[in-house]
This record gives sequence, structure tokens and C-alpha cells, in this order.
Amino acid sequence: MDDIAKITTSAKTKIGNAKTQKEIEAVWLSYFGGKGEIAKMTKTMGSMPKEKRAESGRKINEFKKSLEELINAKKTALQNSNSSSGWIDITAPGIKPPQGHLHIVTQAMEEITRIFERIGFTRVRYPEVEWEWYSFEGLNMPKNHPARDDFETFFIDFPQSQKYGKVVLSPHTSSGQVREMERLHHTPPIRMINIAKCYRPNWDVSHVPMFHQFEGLVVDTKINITHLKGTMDYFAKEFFGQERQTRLRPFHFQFTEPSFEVDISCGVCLGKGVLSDNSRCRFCKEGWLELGGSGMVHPNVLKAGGIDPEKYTGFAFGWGIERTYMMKSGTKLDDIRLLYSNDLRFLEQF
Amino acid sequence: MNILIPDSWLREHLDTKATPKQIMDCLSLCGPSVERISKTGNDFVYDIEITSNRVDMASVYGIAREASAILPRFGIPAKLKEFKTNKPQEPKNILPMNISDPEKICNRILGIVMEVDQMKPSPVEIKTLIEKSGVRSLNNLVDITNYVMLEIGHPCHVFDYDRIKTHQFLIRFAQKNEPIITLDNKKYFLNEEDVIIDDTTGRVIDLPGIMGTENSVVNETTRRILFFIESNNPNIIRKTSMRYGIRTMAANINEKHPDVNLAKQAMEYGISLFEKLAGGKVASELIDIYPCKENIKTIEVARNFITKRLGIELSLTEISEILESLSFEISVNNDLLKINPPSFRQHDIQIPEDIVEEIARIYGYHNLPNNLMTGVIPITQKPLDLPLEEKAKTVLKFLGLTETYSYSMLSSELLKKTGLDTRNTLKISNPLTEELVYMRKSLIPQMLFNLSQNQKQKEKIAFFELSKTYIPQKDDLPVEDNYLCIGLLNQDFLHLKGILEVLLEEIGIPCVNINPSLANSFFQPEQAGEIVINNKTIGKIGNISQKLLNNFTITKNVALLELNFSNLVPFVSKNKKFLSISSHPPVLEDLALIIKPKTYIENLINTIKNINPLIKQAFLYDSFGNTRTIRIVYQNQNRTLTENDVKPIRENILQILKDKFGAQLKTSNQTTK
Repeated sequence: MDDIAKITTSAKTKIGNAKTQKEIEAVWLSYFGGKGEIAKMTKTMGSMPKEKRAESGRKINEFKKSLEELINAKKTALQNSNSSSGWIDITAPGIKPPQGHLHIVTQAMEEITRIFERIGFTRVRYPEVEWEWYSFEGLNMPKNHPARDDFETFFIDFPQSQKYGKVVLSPHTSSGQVREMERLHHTPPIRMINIAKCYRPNWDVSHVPMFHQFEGLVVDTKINITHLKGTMDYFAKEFFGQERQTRLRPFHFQFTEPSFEVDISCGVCLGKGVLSDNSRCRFCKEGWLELGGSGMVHPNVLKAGGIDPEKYTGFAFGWGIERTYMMKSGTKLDDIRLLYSNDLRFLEQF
Repeated sequence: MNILIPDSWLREHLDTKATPKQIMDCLSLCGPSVERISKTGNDFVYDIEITSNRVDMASVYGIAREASAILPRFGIPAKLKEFKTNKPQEPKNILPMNISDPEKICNRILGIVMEVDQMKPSPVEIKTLIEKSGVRSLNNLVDITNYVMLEIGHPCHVFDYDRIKTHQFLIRFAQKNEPIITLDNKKYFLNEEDVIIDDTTGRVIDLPGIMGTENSVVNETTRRILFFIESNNPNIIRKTSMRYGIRTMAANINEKHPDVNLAKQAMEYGISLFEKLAGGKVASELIDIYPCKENIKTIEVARNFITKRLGIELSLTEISEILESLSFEISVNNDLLKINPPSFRQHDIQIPEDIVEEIARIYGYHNLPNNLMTGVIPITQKPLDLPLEEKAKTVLKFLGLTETYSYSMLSSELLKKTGLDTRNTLKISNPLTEELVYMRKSLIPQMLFNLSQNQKQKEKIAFFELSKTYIPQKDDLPVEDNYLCIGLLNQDFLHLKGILEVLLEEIGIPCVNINPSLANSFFQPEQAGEIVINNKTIGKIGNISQKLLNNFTITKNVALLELNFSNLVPFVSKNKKFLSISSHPPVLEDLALIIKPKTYIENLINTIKNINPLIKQAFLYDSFGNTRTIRIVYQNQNRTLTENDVKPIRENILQILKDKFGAQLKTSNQTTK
């Protein structure tokens, strides 16, 4: 076991010579590694007479312990000396991992979904290429009804169905109302939030032929106008801020009765309609912004979805995502077509 | 439709001290939306939106009537002034005029012949009012017809009696391609669904309810007129007006079915105005063809029905007061109300829900409380794909990718550039532009387009899009699966593959394979493969072929993948399994191997993994020239491995790799952890 003394000396030298973390790691490995000195020493113990083994084992353990202490001390010393050795320009820009961007429509959808999920709504999505029946007849808009003109519609070149009529690109998310009633086997309660792409043939600075809507539908035994009001107000305050007010204005839609437009107080002029310099606020109409349509579900729509309008009532609303989000951020895009132009300079702003 | 109502004209019918601002605010909350007030001289003009069901409000009188019901609810007194018209006087001499409608196309037809003075400009007060209402003043004869329409809401028309030589009107459907020249001198060719007036010689002298014609309109020489009003079929008006784009105010009102009784009132009012402003003298009997009188439907509503929808309880007195203020007739029997709407509301008020709307809006939506629903929260089978998509998008964002949104439709040109054609692709039959015609079946064309458009912006670009595609089906709606497309500009294939692997692992799919496949037109030969999960091909990945890069004039390499995201859903495992952590250290061994060219390393590694259960991991550690360094992790859960354990396994590995892949060992190096 004279070897131990020798090995200890040489180990001390090696540790003393190590100048970097890497070098001290290498020293550690040469002793403690699978083919290292300590492994070799342990191996030689096998050939020793029994009475010497215990003594030798104890010595090896002592050696291991002291060596480990020395190495650790050196490591700490190296660490300290390294970190105190150099000046770092902590004001230099950080090295960023690549930063990606979600499209603002995705961000808006996620935010809206979360708000409605908190009050028990389930997000769904229904066909964009849809039968006329779900887009119109099922929503109390029979053929030739002038209300259909309000939703100028893209048609698909496809054989007409006896039952469901032509194939269209759904002009609104309301097509999902009857679909949701069917999905739930005509059995309320229903609390749906349907977010999807919609299509209408308009293309100018304030219209795009493809856009997104979110549609809410609630059907249950005791649903009345105060619930519609409460839900609209809850959403507006969660999405736009507690200080914003909402109001309902009478309106007309075929698939709801009564029907309303929901307005929110303008965030720019704070609902006054005039700015602090007494000029008219150009962002709103007399202090109010139109959020979108809503109403109590028309009994014919419930019937189309196989639900008894004597027993159940409901409300629905369907609003544009783009429009709603623009209103929130106050980002007034001078050209809404930018949203779908996929220009990196636009996408990276969000 | 929007109408302009001068405040001064409104007050001719409405007795109130309400300010214009009060009128605007109150009407908007309970009735028609007043979008703006503009000041014009000493007057104000309201810009009011009229919904398609409330054509009864599309006039000065209609708004006054509505305001007289609404303003008092806000504590502002307002009274509708009486508006009465009288029967025309008996004619002194009778000029012949015969009107026939054999197919009963119109609901009601009214007409009278009058002698008038030569036309002249209207008096200033008339001219100002109609111009404030947005209608151009022409001459007193035409202005009277517009004045009547603006004030009480029914369109009417004035013909030159002497320009209709036959003194006969035949109302009939047009023939195919029958020409007509409207009074603005535009020529149209009609079809069999349009209605015209014929002077019985085949000469078309009017497009009734929409616009007059050049050959029968009043002019400087007119001395006798036919003042004419017809109550039309609103659907026919709508279609004809839309078909030729003739969107006159008359058409806008007539297509919404104005009250048939109003037609008579407008006739009598108009006659009195011709007398007053144009020296008019009645010269015929009043013609009034009204074959089928309309019956007003009685609606029965229980009070409970109203309460259930309103959410608050109103007394019968209050309900009755509200409905009476809107000119409804009511009889009450216990809690059941029998309601007759006035004739000007008969098309709009049809079901009990319509009655609820009237009560609720006049009571004031702002007076109802805001409540959230109290019922049970529905527990339903939630769609699995939506949260997965959301998660995938977030992961990709944090991996440094930017999301694009492209239109669902694209052009045949873009398809062609991508080497695709339009066969078996859904097509829009009424496209807006050539650019948006075909429903996309792949996101690749637009991804290449987007990269191409942006390539000058940045050295490296990483885009993704996760969106629906539309795969046509026979006799059914298309399959709308969600596809994920990732395109990397100026980044290599393995970088893209790494993104895919991290993404799938994050969403709960730990195992993906790329199967080399050579037959793919999008990609460079030998630089592409199929994306396979559990033996199911769900997409493709590779470097875009030089040909496509040229087509899109992209100057750098593009690594791209597209996969059917909807198909991933069944493979997602939400639950993570815990494997106990061994207290025995693993043995790590790096084998540097010289391999043959074009050896797929995945096969080689999979082979190693299957050699012995003590091999816990094997992965590519380094790669240089023909050398591949594979790190192998040996571990036993129960004891520490020794060289004696590892040696035979290593030898076995090397033998198998040599036999199967022709791989030779260069060096090996072992450590324990």
C-alpha cells in the first residue's frame, strides 16, 4: 500500500496544475472513472490476503475522501476566480432565442374562448362549406326571403341536395346553431361558443371575403332577456375592461325574436361622442360602438333543431372577431386586408 | 336602410319639448337607431336606420308616431298630431282612364287624373325639406310625389296623362328581353319575372314601384297628369330592383311591404298637394282597385309567456298601456291577452314573441337587470381537436415560428405553380375574383407564396399555418380536416424535423418516424419522406424541389412539412407514465462507426435498441463525413453494470451492425455517470 502515498502525491500535483473546470473534471475522471485509478486499486484488493483487505479498503476509502475534498475545493476556487476575473457588459442586448408570433385572430379567439369557458360554454366548430338549409332555412330564412340578401353568399359548384339545397360557404357562424342542437341530441341545456371562418363576397379596405365570427348559443328552460343582457355585459367587461358600458338597441334578425344590436361605450372618447378638444369622435357613433347582433332564439329555429319552443327558450349572438378585436386594441387598421396579406412586417407586430 | 328626417318636419307631426339629443338617445334605446344628428342652418337632421321589418317607420310621420310612444316613457311629454286626409272632390269633367291588372299582380291600385298648371320649381319650404331629406328637388310635380313618400311613407308616381295615348294601363309581366328606357335614360332588357305597365299597345310605360320611364314622365308641356299609386308584391320589386341595380328609395320601401291602407292615404294627401301647389283640378273618379282585402291576425299571449321571456313581471295594466301606445288593440281575459296590431304593423307582428319584443323595447331594455344564467352547466363531449390546435400553435410560437392566415380559396394559377391542378377541387360558382376560386386541399401553395413574398425581409423565415382544407366527397359536404404546414426559409431539413419532433412530444405524441419516399413532386429527390405515426402516414416533409423554388422565384432553400393535424388526435396520450428512477448509474458508451454512404441512421439505431433490454437509449451523438458516433446508454434497474456485462452486448452490436449495415467500428469510449 505504499502506492497510496505515491498516488496521493501525484494526485495533489495534478489538482494543483489544473487551471480550468474542464481540466479538473479530467482529473476527477482519471481517478473516479470506470477505468480510473480507484477502480484499479479496488481490483488489486481481490488478490490480497484476507487479513490485509480490510486495512486496504479503509485506506482506499480515506484516499477517496481526501481526494474528493481536494478536487471540490479546487473546483470552488476555480469557479470563484473565473467569475471574478472578467467584466461583463450587462447592458449589452441579451441573446434571444428565436421569437415567434401568433396571428392576432388566433390570439383573439383564445381570449374569447377563455372568457366564455369560465361561464360554462363549450367551444365547437362546424362546417364552413355548408348546406343552404343550415345557413338559411334552419334559421327561419326561407328561399327568396329578402333577409338572405343581407348575407350575400358564395355558392359552391356542386349537385344540389333534395333535402338541404345548394352548397354554400357559410356566411355566418349561425349555421352552427341547429348543428349544435343536433350534436346534443336536441336536449338542452346548451351553452355553445362556435368560432369559425365565414365568407361573404366583399373585398375592400373594410371588408375581406373571409373573416371570423364567434357565435354564442344558450338554450335552457328558464332563459330570458336578462340573461342575454348579463352575458353580453360580462363579456364586454372581461374583454374590454370594467369601465366599459353596454346597451341593447332594438334590431331585426330573422333567427331571433326579439333581436338586438349590442353597443359598447367608446374607449376613445369614453362614451361622450366628443373628444377633449370638443371635436367629434371619429371612432364611434355618438359615444357608442356597435359590437354586433344578438337576440332571443326564434321558435322556428328551436323547432328546426328539434327542440320544443314551448318548453325551452334561448339566446344567441354572432359577432366578428376581427372587428371586436380591433375595437379592443383601438388599432384602427386603415386597411383590414392587411390581416390576411401575411406580410412579415405586419405579423411580427403581434 | 337609412333615412334622413329634418327635426323641423318631425315637429310638424310631433308635439314635444324634447331636445334633438333626447330624441336621438330615447329612440335609439327603444326604437329605430338614430346614428347621427347633423346641424343644417337652424334645423337638425336625424340619420336613422330603419330595419327591414319596420317600413312603417320609414317616414317623418312614422318616426313621429314611434317617438310619441317612446318619449313619454322617459318622462318627456310627446303627442302625435292628428293627420287627416279627405276624399277628393267630385270631378267637373271626367277624362277616360282605364287600369287593368288581370293577373292580380298588385295588392291595390289607385289612380286619379288631374289638370295642372305648367310645372315650376317647388316653393322654398318644400324644396328645403325634401333636400334635407336627401332627395333632389326637380319640379313641383315630381317633388310632390317625393314629398308624400318622405312625409308619410308610401311611394307614388306621376305620369303625363297625354303621353299615354290610349289612356289605358295594363299591368303585366314582361317578356323575355323586352326593352325599357327608365326616366334616367338607361336601357334595360327585362325578363319574365319583372312587372311592367303597358299602354295596351305593347309600349312599356313604367317599371311600377321602382322607377318611371322616359316616355311617360311629366315635362314642360304637361297639363294633365295621372297620379298613380300601387301596392306591389314586395318580392317582385326586390328581385327586379336587385337584378338591374335600380335601388331607388321607392324600390327600397316597396320591397318591404308598406301598409296597403297607407296607399289610400298617400293618394288623398297627394291630390290635396297637387291642388295646393300645382293648380290641380280633379279630372276623373278616384280609381281604387283592391280585390283582396287583408285580414289582420289576432295574436293570443298569456301574461306568463311574457314574464318568462322578459325575466321580470309586468302588470296587465302596464302591458296594455305599452301596447296601446303603439296603436295595438287589446282585450284581456284573465291573464290572456288578445291583441290586434294596427294595419301598418300587420306583416311584422305575427307571433307571441313579436309581442314580447314590443313590450320589452318600450319598457326599455336598459331597465331590465343583467343576470347570468343559473341553470346546470352542460357537461358534453368536448371536441378534442380544438384545445390540441391551440396548444400546438402556442408550442410553435415559442419555438420561434410565426403564424400565417391565408384565404381558404386560391387561384388555378397558384395551384399550377405548385404543380397541382384543379381536378376534384371544390369551385366557387360566383367567385369575386380569379384569385379566390378553388377551395384549398393543401396549404403548400400559399406557404410557398408567403415565403416568396417575404424572402427579402429576413435572412431566415419560419412560418406555420394550421387551418382547414376541403376534400370533396361524393354527394356530401367535403371533409374539412385541419392541416398543419410549416415552411422554413434558409434552414435545413433536420432543423424542421427537430421542430416536428418537439411539437409532437409536447402535444403528447412521443413517437414519429420519417419514411424515406422518393415519389413526391414537391420535394428534391432523396431529401423527403413521409411522416408516419404508429404505421399511419399523416403527412410529408422535405426540401422543396428546385423546380418549385424557381416557379416561386425563391432564392434560398425551403424545408417544408405538411401533415393532417386532425389525424393526430387519436394518437395523443394525455397521461404520462412514471418510470422509477434507477439508483444504479448507467454506462455510457460512444461508438464511432464508419458507415456506407446513404445509410439511414434511424434503421441502424432502431436495430441497436432492439439488441438487448439493457440498452436503454441509443442516439446519434455526432456525425462527420462517413463517421457516425452513436451514444449507447446501458442500465440495469437492480445493480451496477460492469465491463463484463457490457462487453458481450457491445460485441453483439458491432457484429450485427457489420452484417446488416456494413458498419465498421472506428473507436469506442466508455464512461459511467
